[in-house]
Amino acid sequence: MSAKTKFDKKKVTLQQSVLVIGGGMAGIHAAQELKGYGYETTLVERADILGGKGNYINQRADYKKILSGVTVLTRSTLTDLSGHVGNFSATITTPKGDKTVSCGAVVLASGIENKGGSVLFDNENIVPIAELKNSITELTEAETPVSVGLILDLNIEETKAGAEMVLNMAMDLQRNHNAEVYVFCREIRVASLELETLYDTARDASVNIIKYEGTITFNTTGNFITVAARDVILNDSIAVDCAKVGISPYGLNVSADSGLAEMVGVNLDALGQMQDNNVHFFPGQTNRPGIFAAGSCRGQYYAPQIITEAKSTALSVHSLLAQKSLVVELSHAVVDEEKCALCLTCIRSCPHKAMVIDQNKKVAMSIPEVCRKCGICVGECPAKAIELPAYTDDIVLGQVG
Amino acid sequence: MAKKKSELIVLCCENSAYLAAESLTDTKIMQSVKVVMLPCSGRVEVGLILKFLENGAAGVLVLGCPLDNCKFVRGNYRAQKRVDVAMKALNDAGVNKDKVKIDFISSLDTHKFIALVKEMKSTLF
Repeated sequence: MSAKTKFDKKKVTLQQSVLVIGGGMAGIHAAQELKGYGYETTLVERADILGGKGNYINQRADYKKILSGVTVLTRSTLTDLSGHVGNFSATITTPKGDKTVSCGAVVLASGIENKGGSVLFDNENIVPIAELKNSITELTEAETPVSVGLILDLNIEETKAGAEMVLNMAMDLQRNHNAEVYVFCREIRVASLELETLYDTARDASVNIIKYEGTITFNTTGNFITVAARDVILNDSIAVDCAKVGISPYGLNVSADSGLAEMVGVNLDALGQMQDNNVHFFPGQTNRPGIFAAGSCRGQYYAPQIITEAKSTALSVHSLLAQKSLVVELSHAVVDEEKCALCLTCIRSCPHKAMVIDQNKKVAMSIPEVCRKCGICVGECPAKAIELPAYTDDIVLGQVG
Repeated sequence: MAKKKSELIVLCCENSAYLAAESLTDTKIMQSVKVVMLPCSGRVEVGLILKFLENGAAGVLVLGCPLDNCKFVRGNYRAQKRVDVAMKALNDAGVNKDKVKIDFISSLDTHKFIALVKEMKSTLF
């Protein structure tokens, strides 16, 4: 027996344009792919050059060529996003003033927040790997080799992404600068052909790789930081004096850009990543329909994976926008204006942010094209003011003969 | 009006448990069991469970998707909370709280569905 009855339908036109936030590896490849599908694409980057984390693992490519036809806004940030799936309106702050972009979908590829390592350890020589590049000039000018420690798996178990970044950095420091590199890791994760080769080349370039267990300690002795841990292979404790210590950004319990997530209304998961919607049903999507995530704001991926992920996210966007218009069945949650006290419970509990405040009537209302008709708001509403037309209490109780 | 024979009400999420129940071929197990379809186990309310019991149901079994695998992200966690409240309400009223139960099965877990219904029936009838 089905509880469904017939409902009116509404047509929502989907704008054939996409806004990509973040000009890192993921954002660039997603924008390129979307441009290829024929969408008007705008790329917003906070820094003055494109490339993101790819810049400090020396994976720069000719981005101008890749992004031909895409509107690129550097030194710009997304400051406001209104509207819903198919019809977003974004305010972007650029050096030339505010700009409004209307788009059908948004791809978030904003990467991860850079937490200052020096803040964590109260030592200016312990920095996230991204900032290590800034002090490279002093490393080059040194007469004797400078020892540099690179730390993996500090707080959480890392994936191939951290291993790739650290090995690339280590090789660059060892070959092009006067540095002697010690990589500290619990497990080095190299389960792919490129990474296996990278690991071998790093060993050949005489990068020291130390496998540790338990806690790792940092003590300042003179100009050096003594990094001490228990070496699993030697079965003994080991201490290395390092002039600089770089910590993998993933090891610092970093999260995706939480300010951006809050502004666009996207939930973060337990690891602080924008991968909140059910991966089986909605791959690449955040909890808000029409907003997608790609790259390291969504998970720890290494370079080839990021590119594949970004392209698959672009494909998800394409499968949404290629419909040109959505036919929405008007069986979304209905709010009883008499009963609604605007307690905001439904607005907080709606997993897809379909509940908004009706400013004229001062009651809650649901957006038909966003509402997925799950009935969570119905169950949560303390005043029983919300009803799902396909599953009213009468229909549910009536299913029992 | 003659009182209806009491039944076990199984509130099923249409994404998982309802599909598991649909692929059931053994009709004997479904005697005095009524399957009710919900869009998500998060649609369950304390009032709804109590209403079913008030209408003469012997018990209410809520079946949602496996935890952390809800189509609507956290609907099954919400359902669990509400079932806990309903159980407490029954307990406070001096009614056997085992009349209400929640479990989490996937659409392929027809064998689990059978086991859960059998178990629930043995405690109720």
